[in-house]
Amino acid sequence: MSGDIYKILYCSKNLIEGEHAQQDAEISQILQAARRNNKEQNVTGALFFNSSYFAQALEGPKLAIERIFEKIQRDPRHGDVTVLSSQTSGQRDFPEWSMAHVAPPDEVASASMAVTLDTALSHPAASADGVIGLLRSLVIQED
Amino acid sequence: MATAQPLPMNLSPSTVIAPRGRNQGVLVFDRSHRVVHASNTLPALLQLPSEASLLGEAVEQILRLSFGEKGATASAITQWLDQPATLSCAVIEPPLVLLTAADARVIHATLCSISEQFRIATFDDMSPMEVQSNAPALAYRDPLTGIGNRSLLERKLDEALIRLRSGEVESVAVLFLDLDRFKAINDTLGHATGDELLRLVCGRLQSALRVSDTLARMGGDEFAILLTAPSGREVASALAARIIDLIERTYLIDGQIMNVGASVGLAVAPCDGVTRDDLLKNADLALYYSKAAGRGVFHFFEPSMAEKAQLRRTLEFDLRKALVLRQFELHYQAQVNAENGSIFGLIASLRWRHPQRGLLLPVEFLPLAEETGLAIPIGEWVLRRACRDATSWPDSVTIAVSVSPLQFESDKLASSVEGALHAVELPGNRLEIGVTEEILLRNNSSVLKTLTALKALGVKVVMDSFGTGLASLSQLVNFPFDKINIDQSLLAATQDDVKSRAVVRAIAVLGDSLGIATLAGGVETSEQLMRVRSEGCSSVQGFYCTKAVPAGELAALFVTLIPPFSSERLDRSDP
Repeated sequence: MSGDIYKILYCSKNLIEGEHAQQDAEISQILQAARRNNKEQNVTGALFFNSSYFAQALEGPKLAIERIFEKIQRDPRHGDVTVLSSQTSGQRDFPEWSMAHVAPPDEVASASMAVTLDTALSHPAASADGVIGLLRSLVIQED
Repeated sequence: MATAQPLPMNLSPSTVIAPRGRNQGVLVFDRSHRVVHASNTLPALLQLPSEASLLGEAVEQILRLSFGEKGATASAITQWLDQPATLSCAVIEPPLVLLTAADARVIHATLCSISEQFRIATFDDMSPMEVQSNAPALAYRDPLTGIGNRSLLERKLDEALIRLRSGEVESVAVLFLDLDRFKAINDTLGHATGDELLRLVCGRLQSALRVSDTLARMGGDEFAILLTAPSGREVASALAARIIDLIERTYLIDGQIMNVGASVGLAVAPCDGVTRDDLLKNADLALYYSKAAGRGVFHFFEPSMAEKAQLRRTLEFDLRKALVLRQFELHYQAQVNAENGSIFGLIASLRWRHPQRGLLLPVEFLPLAEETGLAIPIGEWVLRRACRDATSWPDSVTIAVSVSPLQFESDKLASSVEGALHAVELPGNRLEIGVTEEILLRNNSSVLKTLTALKALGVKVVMDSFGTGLASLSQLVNFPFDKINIDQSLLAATQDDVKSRAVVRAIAVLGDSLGIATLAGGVETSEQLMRVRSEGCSSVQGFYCTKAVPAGELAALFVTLIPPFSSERLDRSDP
């Protein structure tokens, strides 16, 4: 597909209650729904979560991204959504994933993600590249 | 078969194409997917513009309007429309199930081929009955958003109050909601974006409601929600908090990111009223209270709000009489050179000598004057009076007058200024007009036109209270300002507030390099005076130099050096 790719990256607070297992179940449901819908709309991206935060990158046709973003905004399972960046670009960061699940492989990676997101929420504009970079590196490690 | 593709004779709208009822809509289209007939039930059912405006449109376009891409993408719809029919006059399988984008009703779409030329799409609302009845008829519908209008809310409220009286429900709650900062979005990003934002707001509100709740747009950026069973305070509070959270979340429209806020007021029957008018009025009062309390919050109605509203009405009544009764007076505060303390200007500050309440400061009545439009005649009086007073001062002393956004908007500012100068033959360069950051956010060309007209009179144009966060430095340099007044909030900060100090320094440096003078307002201590001087501000104003005094007490100011700059005080405070 030619044309510009519209990208948005946001962080939000995780408001899902309950134990780890319950959280994991919710997340896998979110991922499944996202993968199903995104494929149809030519949208790709990545989702990270821990017990405090979500970070999600979405990329694809502008209208589709706007519609998906609006749906995400209505979701009660998160709050305090901070948009770290939104831009058009010639290429995708996550071309192979309709919605990659970013799971830090170890304690160190988890801690570094948590610190990056903490910084991102206090300095949204400055840290978008860092978050994207981290998301990418962790996706690739998972595969 | 004719190529002009008129409707076949046997398909008059009254026969085959007639919908079965309000919950069915019918669309006839030709081979190129252009609509040749739409039933009069279709607009309400699918939340579309009038049926006449649909003729000639592409079916895909119409379906996209109603359903967005929920449930079926554009290509899926095109494929469905183009399915081959084996028989003429046959229903083509499978039907399509779609969700309306605005209120998520379930619509079954059936396709039927009636000839080589024409196909009929039939839309049936298959939502549960209570959802269907929520789709308001035309007279009760807000055309922009597709939700109910004020009439619907009033009708539903009347019905709910009847059930309340009969004991069928225990309480009924009315929630009023008003967007914060919506006007700025409309003004800066345009009405099309503003309209789209209102639609998204509706979608978010709807997503938080139960089917028994009624959502209506009361006009502009004001919405109301009627909560019937169970609608006690706890349910209503939870909903109000959720709604504020939802509305405050970021919007993404046409690639632009934007935010608005929401203020909410609630009234609950029977305790806050049992009639429609009382409940609507009290919810509105509670909303007004929330907005005054800093926005982004919700409050339930309390009787004290009605008392405050009464006080406000009294004040408004008094304010309307004040000009005629000559109850306004001007006080003046010196603007001094930061280095040597010489007075180069005086800034006018309005006082209202209220017959019962004594001398009132602007903050106590100017917001009300702005709201009621009285700011315009009052502002004109200030201009004329200040110019007249200035004629008795030394020629080197300028007079500074701040104008309200309302005055600025009235388009008569330049001619008022000209009139005030002429009346007392004051040269234009003796007058400084101060404007607020707010006006920089409005329509640039008309703002620029007024500012240019003022400068053509020789008048100096000053940016008042800069640094409160509304306008950016880049907006500042786009306008031909002669001076920047730095907001006193930046000085009130403690000495170790590095950020505020950096902002003050940045403004001073910017002013210096653009040849724009800078004045630090609100200087209250010697320490602050030293600081702004070291940051590079060329002039200061504030309580530490002189307080605001009536015109009659000014003569003394012109003959003596003001205290902080007398050598004794300087020696003591200079490090």
